Amino acid sequence: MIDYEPVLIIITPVIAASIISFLSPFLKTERTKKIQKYIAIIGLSLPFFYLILLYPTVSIKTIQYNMGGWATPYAITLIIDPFNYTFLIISSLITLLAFIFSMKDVKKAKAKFSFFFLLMVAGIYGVFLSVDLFNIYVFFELCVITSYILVTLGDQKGSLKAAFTYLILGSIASLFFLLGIGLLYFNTGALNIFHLSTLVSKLDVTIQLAVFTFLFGAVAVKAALPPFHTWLVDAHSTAPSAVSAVLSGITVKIGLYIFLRVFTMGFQLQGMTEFLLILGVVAALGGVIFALFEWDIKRLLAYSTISQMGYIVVGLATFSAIGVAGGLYHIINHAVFKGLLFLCAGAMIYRTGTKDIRKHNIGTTMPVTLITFIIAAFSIAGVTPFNGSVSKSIIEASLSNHPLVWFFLLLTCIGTITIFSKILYYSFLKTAIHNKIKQPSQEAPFSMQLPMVVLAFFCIILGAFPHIWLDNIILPATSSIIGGYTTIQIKIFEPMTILKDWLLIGFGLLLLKIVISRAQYIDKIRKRIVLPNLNIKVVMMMFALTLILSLFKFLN
Amino acid sequence: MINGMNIGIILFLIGIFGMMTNKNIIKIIMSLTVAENGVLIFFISIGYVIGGQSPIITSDVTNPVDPLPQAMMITMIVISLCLTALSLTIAAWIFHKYKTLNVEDIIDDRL
Repeated sequence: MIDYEPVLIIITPVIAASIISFLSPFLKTERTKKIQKYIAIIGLSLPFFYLILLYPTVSIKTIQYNMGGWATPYAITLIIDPFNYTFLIISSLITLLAFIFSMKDVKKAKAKFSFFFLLMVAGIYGVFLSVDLFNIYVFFELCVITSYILVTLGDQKGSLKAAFTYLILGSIASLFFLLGIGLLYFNTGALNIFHLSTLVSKLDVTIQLAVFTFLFGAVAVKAALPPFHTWLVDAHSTAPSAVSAVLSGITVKIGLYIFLRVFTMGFQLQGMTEFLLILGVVAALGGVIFALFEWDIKRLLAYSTISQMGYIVVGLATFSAIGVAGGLYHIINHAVFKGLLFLCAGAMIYRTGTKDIRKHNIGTTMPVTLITFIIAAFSIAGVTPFNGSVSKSIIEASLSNHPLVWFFLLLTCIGTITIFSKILYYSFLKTAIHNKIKQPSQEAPFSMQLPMVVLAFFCIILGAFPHIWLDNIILPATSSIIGGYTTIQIKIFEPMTILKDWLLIGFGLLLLKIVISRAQYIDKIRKRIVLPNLNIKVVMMMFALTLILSLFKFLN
Repeated sequence: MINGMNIGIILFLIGIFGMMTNKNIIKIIMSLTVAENGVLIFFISIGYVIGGQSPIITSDVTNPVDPLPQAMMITMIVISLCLTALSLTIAAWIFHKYKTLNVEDIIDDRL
């Protein structure tokens, strides 16, 4: 029997997008334009329901569909196995909620927005479903080209420049990916990932090195690892908030997905773990330090994304079962809480009209946003009952051989707490302390509150019942790419862990005190930081890539 | 050694060099196209066999070239066309808004 489900998942958003584009000349009034919204919501929610219904099948066997009915290693194959199932389910959830949020948030060019949003979602599903390297490239291009367009629909200020930088750097990354695919195809004659995994380890070390460098350059740009991250902050901070949530929650993870799929094919290179650990620590600490200087709420969140990506890379770097399980869990958690944070930021910007946290003055006028933001902040800081704590403790457990890395991650955690308490202090608390008069509630519209509340609910249940998710989703996913997993003992509800959390929060608030008292001075430093222009960004990328190549050449 | 793959890599590097040194947005887009064409030539020459024939229509081809890279490159040409069109559109918008095409003169709009 042929399983058609993978094709259905990709094709549903595409059909919805084409219906929207065909209908748009005929719908003139505001009331009839609502039809487009409902079509888009149906197109985004159907894959979510398919995936829920598919869960019993996926837990037993891998669903496989060969395009055109060719034999297995030669066809373009789409599969659903436990590993990409986790990515698919989280991306269907986040994209649906982000679209519901965007209905009120995006004011101009609604039909265009829905059309490109649906195509982007189709591209995301395509990347996750296909196991053919060239097909991954094609779907990835579909996903990023539409996201370049969606970035230009954002802010009046700066979104064009951000989109152009993103376009150039993203295209260079795609060309690296193509060169890597070309070298692999030239040397093995295969494109299917599972077929390649039997062939890669037999290749000459020099060729493995070249392939690794090209593919790593591509993946690092997509996953925003330093120094390839330079496009991320501008693009994520100027896009519409719903698009920022998808870009930060899902699109950045595509890099890590390709990373895991490709680099578990069996590259026999020395020093990969140490290299990735150092890169992860640099990303984690660097993101936090740069975020401390920012006042723009979306730039703060974007820098925090870089920092959390570093966290995930540290988890994946060891290529051990526990580390990869922690990394995967953190990928899901990060998609949930960073999606929530961007939606909260969108709601704040919708109400106040500014991105500067010093001018927000929200106080207690937006209670739902305040509560969901606090839940998300606790999650990203890794406080015990919320979801970030589980994945962070699993990642930290995988670092038993690397105490220095563990220490740097603790510093990152303190910095993260400072960033989010800074947003909370300036946007909400500052006016609540100074204005004693009770102001009338000015909450965002219901269609914006709903996604935030749902995501906050997921933040809590992903953290409060970790064993359900670990046993049913994360560990099968881990075992499908890295053999030999054991059950994971999580230390989360122990008194010592809770004490550590609150100790870190104490340090974070201490750092916040310093940041607030030195605010003028920090602002002066911030104005001195010169961001590199496009040419220098390309030079940095190529220089780093050459450095990586020579480093691995030296080690092997 | 002069063969298609080396020329492709060299063209790719020339394109990257253009993106490193040019300040003009149109020139950066042209450099991107050069780099894309480099990758294209690289791929096409992977499938090339010296003295080979194309395995189309006739069934009695003894020394066929590999048709798969060519099939992939048709897709890549479409994608790169799309990218070029989009980037030129963005360049036109940038020119309307900032009245300049120099990447250094576009003002950074951070807070």
